[in-house]
Amino acid sequence: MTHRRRVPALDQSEAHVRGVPTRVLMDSRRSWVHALFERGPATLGKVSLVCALLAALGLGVALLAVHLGSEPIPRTIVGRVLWAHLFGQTGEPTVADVIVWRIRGPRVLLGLAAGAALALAGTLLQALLRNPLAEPYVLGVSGGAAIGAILAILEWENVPMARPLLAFLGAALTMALVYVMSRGRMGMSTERLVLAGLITATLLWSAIALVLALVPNPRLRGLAFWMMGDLSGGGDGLLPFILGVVVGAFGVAYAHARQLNLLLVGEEEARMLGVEVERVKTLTYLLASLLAGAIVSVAGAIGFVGLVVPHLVRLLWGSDHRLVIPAAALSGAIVLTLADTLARTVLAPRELPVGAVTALLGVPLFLLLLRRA
Amino acid sequence: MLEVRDVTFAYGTRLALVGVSLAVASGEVVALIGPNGSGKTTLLRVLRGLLRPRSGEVLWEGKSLARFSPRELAQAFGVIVQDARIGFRMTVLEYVLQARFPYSQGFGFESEVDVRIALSALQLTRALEFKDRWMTELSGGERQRVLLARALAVEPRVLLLDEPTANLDLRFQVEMLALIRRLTRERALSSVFVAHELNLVAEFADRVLLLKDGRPLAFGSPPEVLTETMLQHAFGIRVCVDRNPLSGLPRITFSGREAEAFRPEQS
Repeated sequence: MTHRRRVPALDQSEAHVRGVPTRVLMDSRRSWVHALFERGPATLGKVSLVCALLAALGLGVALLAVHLGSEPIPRTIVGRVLWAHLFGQTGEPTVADVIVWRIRGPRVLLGLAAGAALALAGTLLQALLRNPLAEPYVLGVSGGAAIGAILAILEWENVPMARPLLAFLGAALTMALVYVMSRGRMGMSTERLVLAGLITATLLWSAIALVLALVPNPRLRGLAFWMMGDLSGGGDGLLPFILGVVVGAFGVAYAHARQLNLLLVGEEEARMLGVEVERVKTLTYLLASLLAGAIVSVAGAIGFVGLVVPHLVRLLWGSDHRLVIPAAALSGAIVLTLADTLARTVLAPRELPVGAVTALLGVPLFLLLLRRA
Repeated sequence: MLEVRDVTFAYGTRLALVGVSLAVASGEVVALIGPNGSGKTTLLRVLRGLLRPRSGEVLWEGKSLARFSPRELAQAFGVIVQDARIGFRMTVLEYVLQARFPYSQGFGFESEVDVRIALSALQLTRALEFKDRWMTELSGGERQRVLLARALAVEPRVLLLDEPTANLDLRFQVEMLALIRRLTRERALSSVFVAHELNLVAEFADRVLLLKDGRPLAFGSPPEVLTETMLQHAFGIRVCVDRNPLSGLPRITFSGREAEAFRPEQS
């Protein structure tokens, strides 16, 4: 445990010999790498630096995702197609054009939006419940959204907005149910919360399985794949709406980053420092439900992104939401796009549900983090 | 001036405070003492406006607490609550900087002035050396000093401290209460603290409120309140009160051996 020992007057050469990462060393060799991982309150500079790096990485991953697939498109052609569409010089649609702009493009955009939304929903639920294990999938919120979406498919197939709307209602109702169930006489405990979520999720997914098995509606065929998380729909025409929801929710959440920081410490402390606790909690709850509902309605239930990504971000940069919210959203976008690329290419031309990939990658990673914590 | 007028409060049907009155002038340190469950923490929460009394009122600068905005109260009160627990990774400095929230627009980043105020609060409570450690890594005594720094970083007019000396070793108990007393004088604060260590109360409080079962038993200077009969009545064990040879203030002594045999009046 040498790295924990604090040695007051340590001269630099000695520090170097012992390999002690003291502030003496930090100050003398300050660089952007250090600035990136330096502990301390978030500053505009640090947030910009982290976000710029993650955004650049995300752009690279998105281009890679469009390039890779069962039919790899050379990068120069990807660039040419994107350039042509973005700057309005479309000519005869070629095969590459259709694949890049009509098939993979929307899918990658949906992946970015869904990843950002799930990580953001996880971050918000974790702050709201003051519990790092909170996540839409684990709490059964995704299941509630899925019930809403299935109901919309069965009853209002011709109303495109019915799906996300009912999914949002399903998510919000489930969230409220789990919240009430997890509150005992002694307040809310982690165990009660996770158990309540687990029970609710099991119940909801069983109900969905029953509906899929018993209702002989051809529209429900193929929904088994969607249930496990699937981005191949590319948003089913709702992509602009989904993008709008994600961007809007991000903006509102970011405007409340400092209130969320205070909420993380405790409701009473937050109230004593002037936070309108009830308003911020209600808002957070609605935003998380909205995000979960929007994503589940077009991409099914994708688990563990909302759990692992905010966890990793906090591990790297601490819990300040002014940094965690954008960093988690960008990282979630990157992670889900990578997972979906994997899902498309590993067994190409066959595709895997991306939810299975995130669970396969996320569970071991989460166990590892749990052991280290 | 912080004033409590004939306050009664109940949790459901269980009376927690009955007819409590108290006035804390600027520059004055008042200690709340009493057995466990006697209503000390409840009274602090009433003083902060977190609990609304069934009857009676709390006045700050002559005005009822209800007439201040949440932000005004947040700027005026520095508070330490019992067992504050932080389960997320947050550095000490970040935690103390949160106290600057009531001075902000609600979003954006802390200013250089905010950081300087937080750092000097940490310096006052001798917690500056671990400003970059995670809150979860602190010992109980270190955390207690950080909590006090957070209360001071508000730049409050009133300090409400629930067991500020919990988990502190002897030196820090004395240092922290001396600091609280000094700042109370210098900045003309109204300070109220809860403590169980009666000798610390005798040394550092200007006035003492002794509570039992939510009722005020005595209110006055330490020599007036900390008497053998009063303490025996409140706590139910025999104590000896004499003069502290170093300060001349009351010194409370008890005998552990005797307490084994001593039977207070059956309650």
